Amino acid sequence: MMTDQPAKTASASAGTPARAKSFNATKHNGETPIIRQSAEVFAERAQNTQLGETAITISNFDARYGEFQALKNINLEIPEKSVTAFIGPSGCGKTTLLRWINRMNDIVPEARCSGKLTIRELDVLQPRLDVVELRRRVGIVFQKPNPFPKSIFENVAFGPRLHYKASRSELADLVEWALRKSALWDEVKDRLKQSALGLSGGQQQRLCIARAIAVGPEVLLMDEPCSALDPRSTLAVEDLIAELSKEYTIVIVTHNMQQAARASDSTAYLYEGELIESGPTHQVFTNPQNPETERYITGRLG
Amino acid sequence: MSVPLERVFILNAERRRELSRSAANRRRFSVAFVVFCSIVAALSLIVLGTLLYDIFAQGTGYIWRSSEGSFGERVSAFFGTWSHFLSSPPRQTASEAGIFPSMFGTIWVCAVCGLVALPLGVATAIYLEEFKPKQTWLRRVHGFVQLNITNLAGVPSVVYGIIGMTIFVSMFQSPGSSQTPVLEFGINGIYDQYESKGLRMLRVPVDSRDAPDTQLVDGMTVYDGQGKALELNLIPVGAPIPQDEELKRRTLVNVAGGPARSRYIDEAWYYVRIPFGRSVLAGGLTLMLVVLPIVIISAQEAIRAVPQALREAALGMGCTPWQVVRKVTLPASIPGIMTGNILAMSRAIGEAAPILMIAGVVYIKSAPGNLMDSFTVMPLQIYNWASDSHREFHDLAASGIIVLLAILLFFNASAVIIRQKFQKNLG
Ligand SMILES: Nc1ncnc2c1ncn2[C@@H]1O[C@H](COP(=O)(O)OP(=O)(O)OP(=O)(O)O)[C@@H](O)[C@H]1O
Ligand SMILES: [Mg+2]
Repeated sequence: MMTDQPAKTASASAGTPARAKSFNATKHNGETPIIRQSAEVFAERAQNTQLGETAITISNFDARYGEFQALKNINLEIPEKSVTAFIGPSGCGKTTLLRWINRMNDIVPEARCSGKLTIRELDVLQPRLDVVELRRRVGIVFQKPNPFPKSIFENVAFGPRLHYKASRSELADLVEWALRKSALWDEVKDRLKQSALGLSGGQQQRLCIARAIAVGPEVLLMDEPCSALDPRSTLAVEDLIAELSKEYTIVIVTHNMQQAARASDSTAYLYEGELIESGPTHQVFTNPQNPETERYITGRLG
Repeated sequence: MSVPLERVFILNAERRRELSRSAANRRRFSVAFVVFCSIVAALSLIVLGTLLYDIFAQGTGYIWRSSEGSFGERVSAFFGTWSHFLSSPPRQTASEAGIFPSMFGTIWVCAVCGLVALPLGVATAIYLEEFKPKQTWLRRVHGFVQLNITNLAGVPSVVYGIIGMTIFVSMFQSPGSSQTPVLEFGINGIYDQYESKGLRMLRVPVDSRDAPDTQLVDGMTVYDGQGKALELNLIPVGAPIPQDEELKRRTLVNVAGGPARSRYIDEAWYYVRIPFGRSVLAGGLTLMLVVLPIVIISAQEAIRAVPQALREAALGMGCTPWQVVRKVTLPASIPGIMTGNILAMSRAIGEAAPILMIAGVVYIKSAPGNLMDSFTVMPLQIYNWASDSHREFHDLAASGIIVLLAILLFFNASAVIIRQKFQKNLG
């Protein structure tokens, strides 16, 4: 459903050098306002995009840290097997919403929430939920890269080891697959036994992505996965996102409007804890219902 | 609303000049501070060096001076004396005395202390740091425990000696009744033991601890290994030992002409009794109480230093809280935990006050054979020698300190090696 779009084919085709070139030529034209730049892309996408059934339903959702209300009455449906982007200015609550989807905020002592959040039929907020199983099914990549102080191999094999009794060779295959998918394999294939802390920031972030997908989650939450990446790895990660979205539901937080436009099928715009607008990406970007959304997207806000 | 720019002093060249601190002054102060720190560091090194020199000169000098002959002979005599010192019990004459029992007493007690304090302390630290309860009243319990551990770290060790007496030695019984155990396990046999001057002895099996004393009558016959009969010659205490070598060999002293000299309990290595009495176990556990707060607090600090992001990463992959501890927190904090443990063990090794309360002032002539044996430790032995009126014993005390330092170094070195091994694993 997405591979026939120009943006996708440009990035997915051919070897890396050509890919990087085409990326630079078409996308990093900083002058052009993004809406106009991507107009044709969206026109095409408007016809092609068929958002699937709802995977994650969020309704009347409030979240607070102590007295501070971080999210106010969020109502949002995240379609399955597609990419949903959360955009909004810094501090608007994107991370908070993301962390509630797999209950990571359980460990923040002062974090509380109310409302309803379901993944398919599963009530995520029920007190008796098996969060371990939830988090196996809903993986997360954090805003800051946080590899374990173990070897590169051990980092990627960490999750699978928790949940499966795989043989060493099966694990090795899985690790290679995950590292290839996150565009890290070529850089680390000779140093899998070395510490992950010796990797650069961007490499660490890709390692964290590899680590998350190695568990095989149904839903993958990514909090600014590309903020520390160069354009080439960014594109590789976007390829990965595109491919994973055939099978998995992906939620991605980004400050990069181009990325949201390129990589996502639907977009949610948050501002100061409120959901201002959500819908198919082409609609939010070309024909925003709310003037605030338009101001943010065009760069006049936030 | 915003601040008028003319009031922002950093933008005003003149005002800036007025306010500027002298860079030369700052540099001078910085240099002076470095010099000051170096002097202080050098001073402490000098003190340490003097101390070590003094101890080594006194602890080895007398051995060297007393040896004679060529250089090679003197060296071998030197090592001979040292090995004698390390392998002999303390005696009345300084030249024969050794440190063997207290050395092993120290090793045993510290081993017990370390083996119990480490898991207990680390587990407590993990509970306090990683499993902070959410319910209000449990939070209060948590806070209470935390506060008390911090306080306990400052309690003088004699106090722990008293606690150890009550809890481990007598287990809340009145002091008099602590002699007979309530419960015993691992006794191979109970004997009445008669001793001869030549450290030969005769053991007569009896039924129980409080069986009536055996009565020895003259003319006992025993068989030696080849089945040859040997007529024992029993003599009362104080009677002259026969001069004749053959007769002397089979002479036993029959104490007071009647009652057995001592009741001997043959204990297996796993012998346990309750209450523990003045035993190695009681001493080790008491020392454990002394160092436990230190172990807990340092382990807590090590665990707290593990970045929260690592825990989130592990939880986000579907770890249970225990798996987070096992796979992330503990491996990352082991170096710090080991460092704390080194400090704690160094303290334990030198403690004399609580051990004095537990072990008492006793003459011990062999290393502990099991956890229930009586014992003494090196600091006590060293103190005994150092306070003796004869000067030769002061030299022995110095030698003892050398051995104590060596053991301390050994403990610390092994902990450092463990720490480094883990650090390397972490990369
Ligand atoms: N642990 C916390 N305790 C208290 N307040 C918090 C905590 N985490 C986040 N907040 C507050 O909640 C609000 C939303 O934070 P959040 O991290 O969700 O923002 P964000 O949209 O992800 O921002 P950014 O784009 O900068 O990452 C912010 O005002 C922040 O200060
Ligand atoms: Mg964020």
